[in-house]
Amino acid sequence: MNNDVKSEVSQPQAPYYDEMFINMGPQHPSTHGVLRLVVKLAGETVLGVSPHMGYVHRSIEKMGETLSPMQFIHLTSRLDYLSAHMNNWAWAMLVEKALGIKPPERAEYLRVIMAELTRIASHQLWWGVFGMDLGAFTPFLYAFRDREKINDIFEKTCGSRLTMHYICPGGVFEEPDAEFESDVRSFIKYFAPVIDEYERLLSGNIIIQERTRGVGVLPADRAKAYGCTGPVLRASGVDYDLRKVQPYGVYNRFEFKTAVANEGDSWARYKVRLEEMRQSLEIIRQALDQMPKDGPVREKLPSVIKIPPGRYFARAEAARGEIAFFVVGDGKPVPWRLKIRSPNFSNLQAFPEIIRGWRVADIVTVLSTFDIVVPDIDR
Amino acid sequence: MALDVKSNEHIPEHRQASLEGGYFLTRFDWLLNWARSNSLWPLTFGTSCCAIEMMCTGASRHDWSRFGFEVARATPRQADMIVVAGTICYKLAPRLRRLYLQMPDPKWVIAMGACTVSGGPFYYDNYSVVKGVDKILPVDVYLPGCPPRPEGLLHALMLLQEKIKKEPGLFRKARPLPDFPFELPESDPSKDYTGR
Amino acid sequence: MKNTDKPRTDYAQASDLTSEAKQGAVELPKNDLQGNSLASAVLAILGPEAKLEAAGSEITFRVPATQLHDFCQRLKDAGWDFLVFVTAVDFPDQDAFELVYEISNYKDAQHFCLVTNIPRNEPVIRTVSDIWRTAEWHEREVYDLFGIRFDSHPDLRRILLDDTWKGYPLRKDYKDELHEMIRRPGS
Repeated sequence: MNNDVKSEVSQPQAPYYDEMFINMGPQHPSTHGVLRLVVKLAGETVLGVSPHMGYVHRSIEKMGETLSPMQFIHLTSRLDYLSAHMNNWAWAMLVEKALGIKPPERAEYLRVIMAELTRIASHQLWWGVFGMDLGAFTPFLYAFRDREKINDIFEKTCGSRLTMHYICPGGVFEEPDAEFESDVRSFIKYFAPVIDEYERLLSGNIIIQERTRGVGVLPADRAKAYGCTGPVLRASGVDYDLRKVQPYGVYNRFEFKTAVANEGDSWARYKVRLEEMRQSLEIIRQALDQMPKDGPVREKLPSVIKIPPGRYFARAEAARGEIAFFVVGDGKPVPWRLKIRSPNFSNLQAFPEIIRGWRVADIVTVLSTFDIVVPDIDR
Repeated sequence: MALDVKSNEHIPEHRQASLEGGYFLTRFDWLLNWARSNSLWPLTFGTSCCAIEMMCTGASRHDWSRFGFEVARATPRQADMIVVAGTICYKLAPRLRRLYLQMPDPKWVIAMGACTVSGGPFYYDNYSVVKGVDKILPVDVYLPGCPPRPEGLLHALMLLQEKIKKEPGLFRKARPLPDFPFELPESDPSKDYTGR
Repeated sequence: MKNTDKPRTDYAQASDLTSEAKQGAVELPKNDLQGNSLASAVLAILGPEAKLEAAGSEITFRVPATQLHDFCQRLKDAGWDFLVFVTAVDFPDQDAFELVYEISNYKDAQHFCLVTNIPRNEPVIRTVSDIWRTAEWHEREVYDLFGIRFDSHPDLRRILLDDTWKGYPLRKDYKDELHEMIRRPGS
């Protein structure tokens, strides 16, 4: 047998291995949902990956042509369900642009707080599942323990833990209860040192370091060509965060840093997400301080919302990238065409190119740092 | 409120315990059912949002391994039951059916979430969602909710345990599959690879 | 398998567009996205064939289908490097599909869209996946759901539906007997 195996194999040792096709089928513990990867291997080395999706294609775009805008909110939560508030926000912004409404000030701050809490919850789940994919089960339990605290806040305010429809066109649905502010403040106080605990638990581990440093490098120009957004893009060195570049809502009133790394490997994507959690805590703290203490939270809308004829577009920064809605209205109570631009669809497209030459175990690592949610790809 | 299992008291013919067997077989039945119900290993099958609540049920706060569901197997050959969590689409349905057929007897199915019970929010004007997983698999427990709380899933699991304890343990017949006219085409991964 | 045939240039035009094409009469400006307002900056790149439509909140430029690829190349060279999506809208009463390309950039996130009409009974258009690589999957999705073919696309096949699916679901006249498609009562 050939004994001089290098640690980074870019050329498979072809004379010794035939090509083989393996199906990492729709039901697989590490594909983060029902994604099918047909992998072409030479021994253990990946020669190419062909993703097949559509196993959760729920035809949400077709349903959007038969539902009114207020009814459609509950379907937007189910796209990328881990950043449900941000999806709702993008849809609310679109309807507000179409009708020419501006939501009240207090509602804007509440939207920011909810969105950033969702971002933290999404990254917590990502971190737990990332550890589990790489073989460590403990981070999963830690992450869910802390995620339950955010779920408690959501449940008290929105009534639901996962698919919330709190942000609606016109503002937010209703005033949060009296303990909302103290709950969120105590969560911020609790969670800020916990991120350091996460770092101590996982980041310095030799296995994590060996498996993520230098693995699956995504260069910046390829990331831009594939239309990647979100932490995947920012870890490749491109400073593009919609909250800073084109601030929506009241994001221009907060001071926070964009988490950017330059190497573009899995380790960079890992660090970027951890840093984003810290920055989200900062944003929430500032939002709570600046929020007006009382005021309306919902603007009155006409009872039948008709999107006027024309094209409307709205985008928001979800936890995984940029989610955007595009509507062609025609003055009827339901839109003529509704298009959802999902961040994971474009992010996953970059995956087959960067995985060539790595090993089967690295497929799991890189896919985990891409952090895809498959129902968002399939819509 | 205690588990109100009286309302599920109608058990179909092929499920009813037979009284032939005498005392020792009845006690053995009881032992077998007790063992089966307290160590059900689920197959990890989460499709969409309900999968996150299933993960929450398996995680720190609501822990399902207290009930015996400790080991969630990824391969159907070693699993006892499927918790179908998430929307089932026509593209996935033949593969789910094949997974169920690959599981060894005895096996059970919990339909978690509104999408698997009846199609859920995706019932009207939808061309790609199977309206209820009981068109594909024989379901034992239906759990509505969108998504159901982890406590709801635990309730469903406990109901399944109660149901298993009422079954004929030794001479258990497998449940018939519903008629689902879509065949799974024989696929060759090398033909599905395009290099892009 | 790359399709190395020359792309078609004889697309049938929808009836409400002119099909004259002026050749290269516009001087391409440098990569200047500040200063001018968005619409005039883009019109300076595209030239007079692009007609500005302002219905709705999104700045839209209608371009002829034969020149779409050329215009997209000019936009990419001028710094618009983020293709947000490619999609289609079905207008059965105008007997046309309208293709929508939403274009933005990574520097200041300004956005606009290009639309073009292609006839409904023979929907073909040149791909832009050689300009923005992300268009590959977006165009596959448009093919999958609408049936619009893209010339010179490296890998045009269904992406979200089963390979054996018959029909194109997002068309307005899609009927499905095979899978239960239950209409909402009252719609």
